[in-house]
Amino acid sequence: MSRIVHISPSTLAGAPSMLATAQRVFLGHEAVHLRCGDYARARDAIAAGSVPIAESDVDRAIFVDRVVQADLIHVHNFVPRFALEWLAELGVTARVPIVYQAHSPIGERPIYQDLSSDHGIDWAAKLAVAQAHPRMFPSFRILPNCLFRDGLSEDVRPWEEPNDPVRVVYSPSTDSSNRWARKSSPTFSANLGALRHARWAQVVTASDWPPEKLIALRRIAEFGIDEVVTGGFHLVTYETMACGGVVVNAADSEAVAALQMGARTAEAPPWLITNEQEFVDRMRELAHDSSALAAARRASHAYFWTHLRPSRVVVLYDELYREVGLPDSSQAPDAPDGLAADQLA
Amino acid sequence: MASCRAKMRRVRARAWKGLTRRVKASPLAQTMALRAKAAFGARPRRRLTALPVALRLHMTGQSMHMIPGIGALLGRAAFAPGGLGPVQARVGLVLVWGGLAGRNADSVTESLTSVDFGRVMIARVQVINPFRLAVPTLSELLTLRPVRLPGASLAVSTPKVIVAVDPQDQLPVLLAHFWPHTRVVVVLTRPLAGGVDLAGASVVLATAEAAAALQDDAVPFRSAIGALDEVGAAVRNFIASTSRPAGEYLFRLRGEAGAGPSSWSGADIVIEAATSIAPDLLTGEATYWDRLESLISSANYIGIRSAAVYGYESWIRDGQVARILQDLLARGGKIELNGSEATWPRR
Repeated sequence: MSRIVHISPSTLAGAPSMLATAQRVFLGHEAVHLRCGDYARARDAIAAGSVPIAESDVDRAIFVDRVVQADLIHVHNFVPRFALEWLAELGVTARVPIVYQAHSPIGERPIYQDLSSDHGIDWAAKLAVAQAHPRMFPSFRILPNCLFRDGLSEDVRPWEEPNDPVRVVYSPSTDSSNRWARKSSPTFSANLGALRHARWAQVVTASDWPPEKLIALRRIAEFGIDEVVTGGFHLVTYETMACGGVVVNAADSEAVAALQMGARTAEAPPWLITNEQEFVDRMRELAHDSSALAAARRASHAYFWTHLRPSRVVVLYDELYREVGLPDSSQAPDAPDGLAADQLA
Repeated sequence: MASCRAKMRRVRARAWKGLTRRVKASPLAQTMALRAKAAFGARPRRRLTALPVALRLHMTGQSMHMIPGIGALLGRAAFAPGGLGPVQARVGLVLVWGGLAGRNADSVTESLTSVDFGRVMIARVQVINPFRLAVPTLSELLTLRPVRLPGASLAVSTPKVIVAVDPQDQLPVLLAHFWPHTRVVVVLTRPLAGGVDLAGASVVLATAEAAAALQDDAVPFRSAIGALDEVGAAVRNFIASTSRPAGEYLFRLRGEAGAGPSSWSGADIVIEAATSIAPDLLTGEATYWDRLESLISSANYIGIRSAAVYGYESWIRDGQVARILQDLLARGGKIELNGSEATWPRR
């Protein structure tokens, strides 16, 4: 058991808190996510289990209690200034390995550029999430996000009872116009509008839904549209795969390569890769071929639970942690499904 | 002696203050302009305001420091307001570089001042002694802009474009190497003089006669012009190159000219890979740099169709293909892999 502290300035779609939770569950680590910003109550559901830390005496005491005992600190995106001052006062930056991970693209909010050098910290490793980001942080190690939420299960077999009309989930969480964070465009909106009127599809737009309800919806949906405008992909793609839906995105070759490199597999993800002009036609073709649709859903589900299952992803992180100096303490008492290194490939 | 030195310091300080501010607002600049008028006759045509530039150099090892003041007179510059709003932050000054009697340089300056460049300053530079080492500092000094911060007042250099008209020596092209924010447009109205290497130029605009005599393959971009009055619009397009329509600008980074794809399918970057991607990259702990370099090393052709390539002249010269690709990709460039043996997933 090791003590790992995750620090982030916001929920980051729940990625740090999900990673911390999975590390507790699968590896027995005492992992905690300290969320130093993004305090709205609605964000608590997205980053379930995270500890909001504000600039106050009490919160400083909570922060210090966790950090001084840490064996490793994992920073996501950046450390807000007040927390960085606390870290400096504690002198932990020289004592424990600190890992940096970029979750956002450069050139747009919230980080705008590579902030790793602005902290004054000698990072033990720098990571980029295995989506569109590695091209912007080319010297960083690539690791996938860890999707671990209540309601996700490998045992679900949704493709055995297809819906008529097929159910399509579109769940944009942000309304950004930035290069890599966009979820929509005029062309996409027009085509999505046409899809809403199609008899063969039922489009469910799920914005601001609780994560658990969203997962429940994805389990009964045939398609999940991530976004088809940037060339990247997001956690929506992970969620759709985990629930056995067909992922609709426009991931370019570099985003696909990033995922493969992060997940350490030569197998390409079975996505319906399309664009904002053609996505409706491509979905219709698949929806009208029930056997192909079932096969696509099966492949999507299998890809996630083979290469991106949380119990495997946390081991990838753990390997890196060991490389940079995390003490090799006792193994998790109940680590499931044999997480031996030879099973990673 | 001490009094003389103190006086010198005051004079230098006044000159520095005047030169790093707006030249028209500076009493020193006004005085120098009057002296220039007396020294060089009537000021140039149109709205140009002539300003002789005097400065000295202090060399310390490999570095070079400017000391504006009462040094040798090196050249003169004539300014005119221009205008190119969206690129104002990228280019602050366009310098037309020509000899004292360069009539073609005067024509090019006139062509530039007739084009709307917004608030970009245009200057006609007449170098009096082009063989002095101090001459590069002439352009640098002209592009210094004051920046006032709380507790500090700094002079920073703004990006600039030098339009070298029929260069008779290497100096204007070399300026691109002295300062990374300098880009050089060479205008050739006649065959190039011997001994001038254009490898540092960003773009060459040449008349038909001059273009026919130009055999240097290292020049990255070239374009034919019919008359000198076309130069203004061409330079404006060059400066505003990021707003150019995509699809018209093809640059080959690797491979033979005829080896590329016969038709472009719309991708910004085309990589034709002859071999498959190393499997270790997928199953190991590689970074994206590793992948990009593997991709490049396995490719027999890499082409870029992007107007943004105009900003990468120095990287192109240095053969930094991976850096160019990474930067273009980070900005949203699309990549397309061709080649039957490429195992990478294709769109």
